[in-house]
Parts: sequence; C-alpha cells; structure tokens
Amino acid sequence: MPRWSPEQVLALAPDASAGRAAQSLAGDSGWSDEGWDEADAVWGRCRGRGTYQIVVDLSGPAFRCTCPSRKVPCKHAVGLLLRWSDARVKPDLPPQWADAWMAARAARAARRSTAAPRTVNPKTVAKRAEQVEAGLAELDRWLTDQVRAGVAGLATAGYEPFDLQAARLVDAKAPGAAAMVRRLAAAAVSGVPERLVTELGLLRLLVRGFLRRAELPAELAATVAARVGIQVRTEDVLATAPVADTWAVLGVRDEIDEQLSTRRAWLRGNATGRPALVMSFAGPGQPLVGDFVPGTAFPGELCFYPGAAPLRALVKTRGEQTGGKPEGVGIQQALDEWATALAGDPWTDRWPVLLDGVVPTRTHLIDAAGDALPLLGEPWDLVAAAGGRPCRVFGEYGLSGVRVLTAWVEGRVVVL
Amino acid sequence: MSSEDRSLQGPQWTDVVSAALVGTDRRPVPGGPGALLDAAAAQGLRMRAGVRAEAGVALPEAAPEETVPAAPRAAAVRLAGLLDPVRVAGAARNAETRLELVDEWLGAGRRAPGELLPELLDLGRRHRQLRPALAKAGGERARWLAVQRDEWRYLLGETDEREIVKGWDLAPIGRRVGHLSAVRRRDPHLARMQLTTTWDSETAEDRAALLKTFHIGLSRVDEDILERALDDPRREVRVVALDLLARLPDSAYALRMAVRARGCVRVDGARVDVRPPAQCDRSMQRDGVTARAPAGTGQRAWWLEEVLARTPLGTWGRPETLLDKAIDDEWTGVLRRGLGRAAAGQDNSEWAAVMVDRLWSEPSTSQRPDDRLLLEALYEVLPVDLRAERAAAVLRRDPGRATAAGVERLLELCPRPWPRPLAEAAVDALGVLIRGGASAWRLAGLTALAGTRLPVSTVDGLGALRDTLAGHRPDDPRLSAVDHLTDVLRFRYRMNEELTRD
Repeated sequence: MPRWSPEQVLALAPDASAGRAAQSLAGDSGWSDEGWDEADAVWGRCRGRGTYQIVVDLSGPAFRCTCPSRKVPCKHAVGLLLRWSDARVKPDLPPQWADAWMAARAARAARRSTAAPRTVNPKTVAKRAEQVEAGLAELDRWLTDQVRAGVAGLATAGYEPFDLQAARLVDAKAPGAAAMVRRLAAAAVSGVPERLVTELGLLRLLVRGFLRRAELPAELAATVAARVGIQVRTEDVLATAPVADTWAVLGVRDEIDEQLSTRRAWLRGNATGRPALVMSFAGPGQPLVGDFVPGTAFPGELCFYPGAAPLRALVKTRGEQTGGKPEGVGIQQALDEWATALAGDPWTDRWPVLLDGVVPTRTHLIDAAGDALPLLGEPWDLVAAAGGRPCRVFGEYGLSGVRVLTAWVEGRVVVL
Repeated sequence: MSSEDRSLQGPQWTDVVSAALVGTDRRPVPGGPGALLDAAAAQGLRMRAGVRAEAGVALPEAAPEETVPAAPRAAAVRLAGLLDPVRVAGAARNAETRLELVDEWLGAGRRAPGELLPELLDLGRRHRQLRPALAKAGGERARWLAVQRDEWRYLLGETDEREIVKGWDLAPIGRRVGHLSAVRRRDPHLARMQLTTTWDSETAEDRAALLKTFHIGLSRVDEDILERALDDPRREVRVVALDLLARLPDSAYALRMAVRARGCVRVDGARVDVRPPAQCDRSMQRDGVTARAPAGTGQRAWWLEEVLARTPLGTWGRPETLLDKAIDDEWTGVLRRGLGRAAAGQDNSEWAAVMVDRLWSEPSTSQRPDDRLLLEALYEVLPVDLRAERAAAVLRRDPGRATAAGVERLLELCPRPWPRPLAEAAVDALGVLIRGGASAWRLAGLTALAGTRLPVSTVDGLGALRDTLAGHRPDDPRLSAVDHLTDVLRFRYRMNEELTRD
C-alpha cells in the first residue's frame, strides 16, 4: 500500500483535538517496536501515561490501541500513522500482539462472509406495510386539510404542527416521510411560497406513489419505499449486481446531530461516471470513523440501493488506495444531471456536482461559459484558496445553491 | 426565480400557488384540494428541474502571482491544526502559546495556503502582533483578500495615509489623522498651517489625535502651537503637547525644565548636591509637574522626581558624569526613578541601560510597587541585543528574584529565538529554581515563555534536567511544567523541520 499523506491520516482523526494531540505525539520520543508489513498492518508502542500497543489495519482502516481513550482512532493510532506517512516506520515482521489482532480480524471477516442470510417473515412485512399505509392515508388527509384551509397560515405556525404530524409518521413506521414533513417547516418559513406549495405537492405524490406501488415500475417503487423510510436490508443490497470501477472520493460531509451523526462520503466512478453516496452513522457521543479521504480513489465494487435514480451505495469490495483524478463538467451539464436525477427521483433534495474550470466568488461559482450557480453562505476559505482563478470543485447542489466540500487548486486537494 | 421562468409556465403555476395559499374553501378549484396538490407537484417539480444557471455574474480579478515559496504540505497541515478552533481545554496560557506558534510559523519565510488565510486574517485582526509576519506569509493572496473585506483592510497598512483633496475638516477622524500624517511627511509646515486654521473649532479628542501626528517631522518651528496647547483646557491635549515638547531638546520648554532641574541637582566636585523644589508653582504645573504626590511619597521628593522625569537627559551629559558621583542616600531612589522615567519617556537607550542596572542592584526592600512598571518601560527602550544581555545577566545573578520581580516582561521583549547565552542562562535558571524548591506556579511563567522562545536545540539540555528531577521524585508536580516545555520545543522542532523542507 502506498504511504498516505499527512492530510489523509489527519482526516481519520475523530476530532481536531485528537489530530493536534497526534501531531505532538508524532515526534521521535516515546516510540518503540514500530513496523509495518505486506498485510497492511502498522504497529508500534507509544509511551504516554502508560505504554500502549497500537495496531492499525490500513485496509479497513481499523484501529486498536490499549489506551483508555474512547475515541476511534485515538491520538496514538493517528500519531503512529503520521510517523508511518513520514517514512519513519520501517517494514518489519509483526510482533505477536499485532499479528494476533490482525488474524482475529481476518477470521471475523471470513465468518461474516460465510454466515447464512437471515430470512424475513413475509407476515411481518405485510403487517408493517399496512401500518405505513394507514399512516400515509392520515398524512394525505392532513395535506388536503391544509390546502382546503389555505397554507398561508403555516408560515407563522411554528414547528409544532409539523413536529406533531412527523411524530405520527414515525409511529406509523414511515420515518422517511416524517423527515420530509419536518423539511416542510423549513420551506414554510423560507418566505418562498412556491417552495412550500411544491413540497406539499411532493408529499402528496409520495403518498399516492406508495399506495399505488404495485403498479409502478420496480425501480420507482423502490425509490418510493426508500423515501417513505422502509429500509432495505444490507445483505439484500450486497446481493445485487455490484458495479466495479475505480471510485474517486470527491467529498465528505458530517452532520452531527444529538441523536444520530451522519457522514456522507461522495464517490464517483472514473470509468462509469456514476455518482455514489456511502453513508455511515454513529450514535450520540460516538465518533464517526473516517474511511474516505477526498482526493484519493480505490478500485472496488459498490452495490447500489435499488431506485430510479440510484445514488446511495454500499462498498462490497475495496482495493488498495490510489490517487484519483476525476473529471468534472460545466455548470450547464451539472444542471442537466440534476434534472435527470429529479426525473428519476422527484424527492431528490441534493445532488453531487463536480465542476471543472469554475471561478469561486463570495456568492457564486462561474464557469468558462459564463454560467453561474449560487453558493450557500459566504465561503471565504474557498474564495481564498482559488484566488479568483478557475479550479475544480465538488459540492452538494440543492434547492438554495451549492455547498462546496472539496476544491482542487494548484495541484492540491483542499477540504473545506 | 426569474420572470422568464414564470412566463414559460403560464399563469397556471401562479394560480396553483395562490389557490393553495388562500385555500380551496375560499377559492375552489376543479377536482378539489387533492387535484390542486397533484398539480403543485407536477408544476413545482418542473420548475425545480428546469432551473437555469445565472448569467452575467461579474468575474473577480484574479490574485497576482506569488513570489514567496509555498509552505511544504506537512507544514501547511500543521498550521491548519494550530488554527483549528476546537480546544482541548481552553487554558489561556495554551491559547497564548498557540498564537506564538502561529507567529513563528508565519515568520519562517514560507507562504500559508490560501484556504487558511481567512482565519489568519481574522486572527490578525484581534492580535496585532501577528500582523507583520502575516503580511509576509500571506503573500499576494492575503492582500487580494484584504481589499475585499473591510475587517481585513488593516493588512494594507495600519493607517490610511492618503491626502484628502477637499474638505479635510469634514472627513472622519481616522482619515483626517491619515491625511495630516501624509502632509507632515511631505511638508510639516503646511500641515501645521492646516491644523491651525481649524484648531479652535476642533473637539478635545480630535485636537489630541491630530496633534499627535506632529511627531513626524517635529522641529523647533512647531514649538509655538505646542506651547499654546500647554494652556489647553483639556488634559489629554496637554499631555500630547508635553510629550512632544520633551522631545525638542533646545525648545524653551526644555530650557525651563533644565533650569529647574539644575537648581535641584548640582554636581559639586565628586559629589552630587540635591535640593528638591521647595514648592510647585503654577508655571511648573503648566509644564506638566503633578503637584500632588502619590501616597507614601514625600511631597518635595515627588516634585523632584517629576522635574527630572521631564528634563532632557542631555542636560546631564553622559550618565556616568552624574551617577558615578556620591549621592546622598536619601535621594538615590528619587534620582533613579526620575532619570529612569526620563530615559523611558525620551526613548534614550543609553540612559535606559544604565538605569536598568541601577534599579536592579537596588535592594528590594527600598522598592516601590510601581518600580516594576518603570523597569518594564525601560526594557522597551533598550536596544534588542542589550535586552537579551541584561536578561541573561539577571537570570544568572538571582533566578529566584528575577521571576518574582517580573523578568518575564524583559524576556518577552528579547529577540526570538533567544540568543545562546540567554538560552543557556534560562535553562540553568530553571535548574536552580527546581533544585531550590521553587513552586510549580513560579516556574510556570518562565517555562511558558521559554517554550516558544528557546532555540529548539535546547531540548537536549532539558532532557537531562527532567531525568534528574524524575530520578529524585517521580511524582514531582513540577515535572509537568518541564514536560510541557519540552513538548512545545519538540513541536517547534518538527514544525521548523517541515517548514525548511523543499
């Protein structure tokens, strides 16, 4: 495996303080018994309050450290990787304690791949569908009631009516629809009535789509089910035909929430040009493990969740990390891609855009043709990185504009 | 949404929206509310998918090419880590250390990556000491950014020294000060004339601010307006005038003070004869002598100190001609303080060096609490190389007293990194303090300063110190102070190594 850059290593740190602590740890004092081997293991001992044993499986990556920290990876693991990335760790044979852990990991992985698939009771599925249908029927009544009485009042009603309705949908096992109802609240206060009315219409479209799902093409039915919030089991996704490609990691974005933190990693296949979204979740207080470093790529197979505009995917196999040079498009074509995505999945609210040759200003991205897209907020760091020159950017395009996550400037990858 | 989009959709979409807003109860539609929602989905989605790129957004001017070499990648990553606002535990000392590390990074002659500049510019806005290094490490890109945002304009020059063509008295005071400074540089006489025309109608704050610009091109011809300002009803204006007059060694003011001072302090052969003023008359008060002595100071001694503090040091010739003579014990302290204040106020480094030494050798029992402030003021006047030399001497002489008497300020003013003799003195002083049983908090001030200022190579000498300490008492709380110091030094060692890579 080629060495990672220090940025790649630091991107793994669960938070900035761990990253900084790792940087100060990465000096030469306190380290012993270090090495790395063909099996992508890096190990070492670090003397701190005690002496800790650290092993990192680069292919995961996965981490083990004997220190009491609950952060994953802890500062010792990141510090060790920083030293490795700086060529201060030499190839060696693993000591027993490192080898044992790697062997246990390999055994676990082997067991997992041969485990028998769980079966699903069709009765449970049918019962749940009934529950969802009932919940959606009630949502439909609520929607028509709103339109009958006039939705102008919703703009000043606060969050309560939406929260109430959303809670009912959660009870009815339709968490996806519940999230869309909460999104209505944002549309209601946005001051753009067109947006609110469109969202209301789209919710009704979802209800009607679900009730008529048997008549829909299979992909569209899958999209509707996913939007309503009916989960597809991981093993079912992994059982679909994988898409093999070299996947470039374009951007990573975390949303830290009290209940659930989400990390979205946006990928794009170099040969297929397919966008993919790999999501990972962590409960309260738990760190998100950083698997994906913008600016890198890996050959591998992804399995996409079924749908009419497939985007979300799971990584089935993953090869060694390589450098990635994805090609972007102009603004016009990016908007075409957005329209295509909406045609497949009308409930799409963000879509990845990789734009080439755009100049970032405080408010817009401007491409060579003079087309411009609005930016969210005032991203000064992006403006400063680009310096008024064309660059490649990756971002999430949504209803209010682009949120840029990554930029390629002067031969560097800048994570914003 | 542009009007063009609207017209494409015809009136239908606006009808759908307004019907939904008002409600189908009041504005019935064919098919009822359900059909209206279906139409909303279809129409709204079409609008959403058909969104167009904006046109005619002005392209910015590109930033100029850089001349300073970019920092190596590892160094850039380290800087990003230093700037990260997430704090482990927000100890103030930590924040201060971090700021100094940022300053050291910026001062290394490499260029900071563009994406970090907004944060650096914000930091420089709050912490003036970063600005000189930031101006260099920020390169052209930082200036290009500074033009675009008012908060960052400070980078383009501390004050906006451009002349105002018309109506100079109507501009905001900051611009007026800039204007007057520019005119002073070009033609001090013209600037004085300009200020004279509006002098009587200015507010007291403006009079003081505008008069301050006279330090540029100050000469005897400015004396009249300064003398006039001595009679100003407002104290802040008089203070400015007094400071400026004291810098004119052959002014009438200087002569008056010299006459008063010579009347009090007379060199008589091998001894100095001291006779403090018997009174503080109106003319003395006009010349800045404060009549009322602070508590604990004799009235006449105070007047003498005040007179000496405002007398041009040239009155006495070289420092030795006065200070090497025998002086009555009663007056030694008064003379030292008065002359010390004069050295600080008149930026006289020769006198300052002598006064620092005298004040240091004075037994601590006869010291006043504000002597420490006076010393600190004198340190600032010392030339840079003398500061390091004096600091080393002080640390060697009596480390215990040095930390107690605020050597920290002097150490702060010393060049970074500390020259070898000072670095060695500081490491030795730490050893002496630790062996002498100094408490952890007494060590803290010195170790905090030493961390960001010692040459990184000193880390080896500290290792030995730590080992002896740990060997004696492994649970010594002072170990952590030494450990913190070595941590910072190691961090800087790595940082400098990264910054000097190709």
